[in-house]
Amino acid sequence: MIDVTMANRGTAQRPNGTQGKICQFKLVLLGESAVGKSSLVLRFVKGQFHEYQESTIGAAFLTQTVCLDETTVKFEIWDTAGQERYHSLAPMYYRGAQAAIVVYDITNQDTFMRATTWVKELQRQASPSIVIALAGNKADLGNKRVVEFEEAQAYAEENGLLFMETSAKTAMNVNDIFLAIAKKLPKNEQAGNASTSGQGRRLVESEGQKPATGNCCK
Amino acid sequence: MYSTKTPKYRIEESDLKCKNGCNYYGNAAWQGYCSVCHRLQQRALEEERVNNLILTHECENISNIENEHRRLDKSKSKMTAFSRLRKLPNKDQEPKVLLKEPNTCTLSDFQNIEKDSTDLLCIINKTTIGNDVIKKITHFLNEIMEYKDSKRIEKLSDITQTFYQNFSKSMEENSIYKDVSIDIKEKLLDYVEKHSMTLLYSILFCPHYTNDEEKDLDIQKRIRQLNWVSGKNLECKIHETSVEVRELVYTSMMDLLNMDAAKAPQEKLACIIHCCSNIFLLLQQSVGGPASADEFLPALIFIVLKANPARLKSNINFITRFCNASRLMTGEGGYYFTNLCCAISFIECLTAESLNMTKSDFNAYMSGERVPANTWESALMICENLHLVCENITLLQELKIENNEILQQAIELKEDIITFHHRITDKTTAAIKKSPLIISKTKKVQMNLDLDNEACLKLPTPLIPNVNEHQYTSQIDYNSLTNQHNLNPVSKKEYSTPSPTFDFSLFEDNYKLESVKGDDNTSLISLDLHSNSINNEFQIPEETASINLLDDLQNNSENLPSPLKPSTSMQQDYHGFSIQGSTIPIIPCNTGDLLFNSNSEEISNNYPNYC
Repeated sequence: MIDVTMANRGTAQRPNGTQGKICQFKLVLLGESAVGKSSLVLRFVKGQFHEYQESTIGAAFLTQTVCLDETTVKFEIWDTAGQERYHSLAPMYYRGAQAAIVVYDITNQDTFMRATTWVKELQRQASPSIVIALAGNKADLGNKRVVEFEEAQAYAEENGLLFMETSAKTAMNVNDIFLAIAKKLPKNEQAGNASTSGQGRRLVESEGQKPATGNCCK
Repeated sequence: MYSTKTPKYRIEESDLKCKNGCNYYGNAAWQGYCSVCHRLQQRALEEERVNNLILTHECENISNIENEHRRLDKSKSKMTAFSRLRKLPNKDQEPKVLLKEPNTCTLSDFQNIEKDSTDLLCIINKTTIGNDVIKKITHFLNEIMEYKDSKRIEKLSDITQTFYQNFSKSMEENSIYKDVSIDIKEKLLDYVEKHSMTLLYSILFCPHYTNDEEKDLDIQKRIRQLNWVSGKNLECKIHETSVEVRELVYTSMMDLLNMDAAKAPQEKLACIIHCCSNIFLLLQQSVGGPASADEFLPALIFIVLKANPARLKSNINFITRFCNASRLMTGEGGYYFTNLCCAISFIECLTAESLNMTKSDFNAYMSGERVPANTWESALMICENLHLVCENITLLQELKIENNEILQQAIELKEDIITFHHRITDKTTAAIKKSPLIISKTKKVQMNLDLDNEACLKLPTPLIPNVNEHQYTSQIDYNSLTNQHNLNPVSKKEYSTPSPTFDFSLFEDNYKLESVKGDDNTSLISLDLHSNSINNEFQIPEETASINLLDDLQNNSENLPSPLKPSTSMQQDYHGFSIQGSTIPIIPCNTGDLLFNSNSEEISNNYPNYC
């Protein structure tokens, strides 16, 4: 299991090595409104849930860095408006995104249905290499569960998605899902080429410090 | 309504002054000089132009207009800060570039750029990096100028993007940049972009061969049509009633409006970032926590609808085409720009369903048939009207207070009048009480008469009748005459009338009203007798009484035997006296009684306690 405190870790803890590289990725959050998209991100980036600090003025655009063995993955998380009326605008957001998390609420069947339409849309319209993760949020409300874990997992396997049930409230699986995405993302030289598809730019670290990968990623 | 706040002041007075600094105002038609300086400048330019023509041999290919431009550009570029940096490249290349440089930017724009990147320029100036940067920019500018007449904005955009890519690539690969930190590289990339775009602004921004302007007008018209859309329609959670939130709404709208004034795409992007951060601030106050995209996008749409920024499409297109694509795809600026594009796209494709309303309602609002009551404007209008109502209520309250004061004063005045009336009536009654009107006997008159008539006393008694009829008559005549004669001095002494008919004793307190009343109908003669018999205070001496004609008559009738029995002829003689005696008493007696009675009645009416 991932250490929960990892969410509070800032960019200062990123591993700095002579050969270490930073890959920047754009990640979009999709899902019906009120499924907890922004809560999920706030938990991941700030470690907060309903105890907002003054400095946190918005949860629509946030960045977080995750350390993998040799690379530092910098997530740029773009939140999208979940309301049905803004659905048609979504392609503008996921254009050029390398990763997407489709969130649904396990206590609401409709949100799961919407999630499946999002997945279909992404597979059809987004970049072919996009990494899609399905997150069943509000897992702490197990007694009100409507969407069964097996049902969602079956769907995810069918479509080749990453799948986890998460809880922004208890921080369950929040970091895991981001880490899983980071691992799945291609970190080759093409990914660092910002010129063509707007993929994360690869920036060479100039500082020559010892890598400290061990303390952030297990 | 939203014009209450003026956009950020971008033109300073110093910009309006003559560029020579002669303190006169300059004119754009004179290249920012005043008329005098412009003329001098023209002359100098003319000379320079001739020299240039000889040097470059390019004049044949350039049209007259371009020639003019070139000439002006040259003079302009001398003034730019850029030219100072430009000193670095080889001198042969410089004039050519300068000739092609468009006359688009003002001195202040470059000063701003230079100011923003002072530290950067310090680092790169007079180094190989500086030279390389300038070489690349010059090359790029030349390329753009080459294609600017191709009327293909996509081509220009491609050239620009390729230039950015190549520049960043060369920074990574070129050995001269290997010692430069990433931060400086980023800054340098920004600087190059800012600089070249500011220079090329008029060529690349909303060129006439694109339909940008039409689109601008379309979106502007569309937003005007949608002016009825409220925050409620968009389900946006802006607390319009909060003063702080409203201030932030205005600020973010101003940021958005400022976008048009900025020149470099990055500056425009910065305006959008400002606007969006303000929206997040106001949402934080409205929602009570960090706002998510669910709240942010509707708020941004609301702001765009209410601000209706000028040349919106042109600005968006300019940023899309000429801002470094890597900047637009990532980072905060990229995210907010995407949101703005989404907002515009939403506004363009707005339908009844996207506002959760029926088609008929939507059409009614769009055609202006129906004016919604819940728009921002009407809410403010209501606020203003409420304010007016409040003011009027205050005014009415003030008037009411004044009115009450006046009423109070009127009541006081009324009371004063009543008390005054009472006081006066009291005084009058007191005065009347003190000195009532009493009818009394004319004792004093008699006394006075007696006193005065000392001489009369000495007179022989006239009452002794004469046998001679003729003598008697004459004697009476004489008596009446003497009486009349005696009465006059009495009246002068302000006592009651000396006439026997006016024998009211005014100063006789003892004399009762009742007695007078009782004798209402009695004749004065009988009254005299009566009062005389009652009141003994004033003893009338017999001698003096004898003078009184009535007494005389009485006495005569008692004591004198002869004159009381006059003959028929004598009665006739007496007739003159009786006429006098009978006529006189009636008149004063009645008047005196009537007056007194009416007076007492009135008094008794007003003061029932008086009796």
